[in-house]
Amino acid sequence: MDYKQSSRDIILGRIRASHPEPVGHPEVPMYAIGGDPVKNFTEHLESFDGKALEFASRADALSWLEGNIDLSGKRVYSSLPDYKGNVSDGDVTDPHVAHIVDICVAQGLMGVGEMGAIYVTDESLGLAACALFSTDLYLLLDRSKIVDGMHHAYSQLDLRANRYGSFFTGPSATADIEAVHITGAQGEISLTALIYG
Amino acid sequence: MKQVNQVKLGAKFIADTPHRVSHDRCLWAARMRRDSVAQRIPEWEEMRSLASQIKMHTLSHLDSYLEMFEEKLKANGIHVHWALDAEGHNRIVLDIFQSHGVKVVTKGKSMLMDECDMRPFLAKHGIEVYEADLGERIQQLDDQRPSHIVMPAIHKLRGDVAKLFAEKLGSDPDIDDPSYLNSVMRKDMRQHYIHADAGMCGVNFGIAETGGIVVCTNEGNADISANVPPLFVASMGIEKLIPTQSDLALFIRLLSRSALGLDITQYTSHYHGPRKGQEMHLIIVDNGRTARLGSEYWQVLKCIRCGACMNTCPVFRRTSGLSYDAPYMGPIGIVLEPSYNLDRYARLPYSCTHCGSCGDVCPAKVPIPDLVFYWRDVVVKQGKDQLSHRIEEDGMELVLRSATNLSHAEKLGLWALRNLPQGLLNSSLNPWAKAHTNPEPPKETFRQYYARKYNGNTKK
Amino acid sequence: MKVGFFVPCYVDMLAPQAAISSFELLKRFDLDVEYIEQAACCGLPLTDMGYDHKACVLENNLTKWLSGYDYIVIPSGICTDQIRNHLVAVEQTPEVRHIRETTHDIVDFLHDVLQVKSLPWAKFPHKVALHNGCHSLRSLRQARPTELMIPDYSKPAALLELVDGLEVAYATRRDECCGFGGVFSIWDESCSSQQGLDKVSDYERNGLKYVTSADFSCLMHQQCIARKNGVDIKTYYIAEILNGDAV
Repeated sequence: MDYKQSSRDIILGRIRASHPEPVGHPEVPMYAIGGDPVKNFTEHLESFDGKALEFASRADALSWLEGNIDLSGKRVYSSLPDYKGNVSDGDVTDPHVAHIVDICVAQGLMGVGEMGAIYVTDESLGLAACALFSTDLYLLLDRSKIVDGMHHAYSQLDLRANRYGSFFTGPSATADIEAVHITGAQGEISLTALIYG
Repeated sequence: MKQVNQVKLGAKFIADTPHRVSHDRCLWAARMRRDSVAQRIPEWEEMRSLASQIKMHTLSHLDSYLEMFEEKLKANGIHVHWALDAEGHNRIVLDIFQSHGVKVVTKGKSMLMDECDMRPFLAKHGIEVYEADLGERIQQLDDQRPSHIVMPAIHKLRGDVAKLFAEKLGSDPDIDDPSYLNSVMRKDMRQHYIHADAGMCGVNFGIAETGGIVVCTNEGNADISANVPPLFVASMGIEKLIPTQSDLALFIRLLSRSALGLDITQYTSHYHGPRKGQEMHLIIVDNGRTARLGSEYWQVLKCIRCGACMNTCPVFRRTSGLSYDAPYMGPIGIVLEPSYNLDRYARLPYSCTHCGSCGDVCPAKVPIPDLVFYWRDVVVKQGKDQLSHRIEEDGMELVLRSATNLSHAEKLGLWALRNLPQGLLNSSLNPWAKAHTNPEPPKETFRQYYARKYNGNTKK
Repeated sequence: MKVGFFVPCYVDMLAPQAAISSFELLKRFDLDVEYIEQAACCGLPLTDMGYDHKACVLENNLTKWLSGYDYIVIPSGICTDQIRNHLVAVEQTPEVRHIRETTHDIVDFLHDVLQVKSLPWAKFPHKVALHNGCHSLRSLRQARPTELMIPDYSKPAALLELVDGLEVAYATRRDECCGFGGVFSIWDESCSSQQGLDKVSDYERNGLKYVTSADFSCLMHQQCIARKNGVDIKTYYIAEILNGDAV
């Protein structure tokens, strides 16, 4: 449509006519947090009401899931190749119905010690809506993928590789009423990181 | 046009002690948390300087970064629109929605969409927009503006929300526990998400290098709105752009710490295209921003909308955001709103004690205190100031021109303090008298002391 | 060292003791101190209300009177800030720049220029709340504002600690503006007085009876609000304590 095209040119024209004096792009140092990233990660995640469990191996983490998730009473969606839930991709082809999911299990791709944040993508989650609508979210995380701070995280990630990539830091929360902190707003109500390796 | 009288509206809130005390306490607590998390970061002040420089760099090369951004967005499969103003923005949204038969929309927070008055516009065209952020939803149900850019309903007490939800959502009016009220919201929103034809949200950062947008939220509502419906529309002001992914690290480290004293938001989400089967649109909006870019107050465009200035502002904490009767409130509001509508917001730059705290907490170093002086100057030059100010001022200029006159005025003032009946000094003509006693008149001025003691001889 | 002593209008009229103590304190040091009789107003109310562009006449006169000194000392933080940072309506000649650079309030002058290390005449055996006025704090940077994550320092506290028996204390919200704000206290009386009441209540909760500041305007506001609300505090301009005049 024409008017949209011309809006673009008008805006760019206005900008060119009113640029402030050029300012250089400063170099941002790779500020380090220091300390043990895994310990930092766990402490920060817990401060956001997340839980962190540590396992010697991925197999141990998976067997913990087997033993602790009740597949009979709950609807469980998993995007892991080596852990099966009872809700298949076919059951949730339309994200609108993803709210049927009670529990979601997926792979976390990176942890950030500075924040207790876990990076996930639409790919790692399978269907992002399942994670967001779930009550309990379990994210597996390879210990070696926990980096020091945000600068390290962004220097390693390729944001363009995924249409949705997000740092999840603890379960959803709100403090919109009298600033009272409430865990479990509209997204998942609990988040557990299973750190292995 | 009627000027917004923040003082008068604020006075009502001040008089309401329970609301005022709670509001002040909540926001001050956020400021204290901000201090304590910032204190743990040795490079905090360096980061503020860098953030400011990166913003200035981007703003001074905005045309080329926007072009780069547009090219990458398109390559990522995102539909790009440009809007000159609020009307253009709303028209674009409506076009998109009408061509997709959209009836129900769930929406994450967006200051820009508020600025454009988008919701009422869409409502007129039969499109229902559900605010999905708890605070925003409370304000929508109460037919009020957000009172804070990060905590939209922070001026309310839990009892107010309980009453509102009981009325509008049928919850139990006798339970005012925030957890319960949050669960009412969660349950209510679920049904809207399930039927939503489109999701919307604002943008915290656009990354020119990657052609993506970043949305930082806590509740998960924006992520649900973006990930569930088949259509996702986001809007961003041109000033939200940053050059690179590595610059983003700095801003993410500053944003939530400044806003709420939390290290990061629960969801820091990056969108670089539509999910399979979805369409994604981004509307890039000017609405007065290019005019700011070409002005002396262009640094206002560095603002990353964290709300730290509001949390620290002694006036804002006591008067609440609604008293500014504007999309943007508090310190950033009083230097931003006059540029949208000087007639309406000419009084706002005076709602400031010049304490300077906003400038020192701002993570992007927006020089808000200087901009307050700037706007007062503009207000006066354009004749939008209050008559009482002018009379006082013109009188004062005459008086202050010479010390001879001043000593007359001083004498008159002192004579008044000593001799006028307290009833007159404490009258409504003297606003000070409402809360203060008048200062005790000194026996002699320094001038008189000096004349008496040194008799004109200052040398030792 | 030729020092011009500038007594701003409101100090002269409402707080002559602040000027007297400052003047007498300066005279204790080996200085050539001259009271600048002609100078009266620094122009702050004009800047404050948006009349900066009309301040030229005033500033022209003022710079005339403030010229010819090595230093200007003002017993008022806000007026010092005005001269240093807002004397801009007048042409920025080398003379004007000299005035702006060499104008100090009494705290900065004692601490930075004279580098005073002892005040043997001063005694005040009390706990004293130090209220840093906003202009002294965030414009003159006399102390670290709590907002800034930089090493801690406080020039007024360093000077007060030289006073025999004095213990420096703070309100819980130590840097919170007390709401005076010059014209603001008239323009927005309700907010200004609420801020003031909150401030004096903070002292009261902390059991603080004495309050000092490098800004008399804040003290006047706080003292008058305290009196109206039955809060028992006594305020002293900082030089009154430093010169041993506070009893």
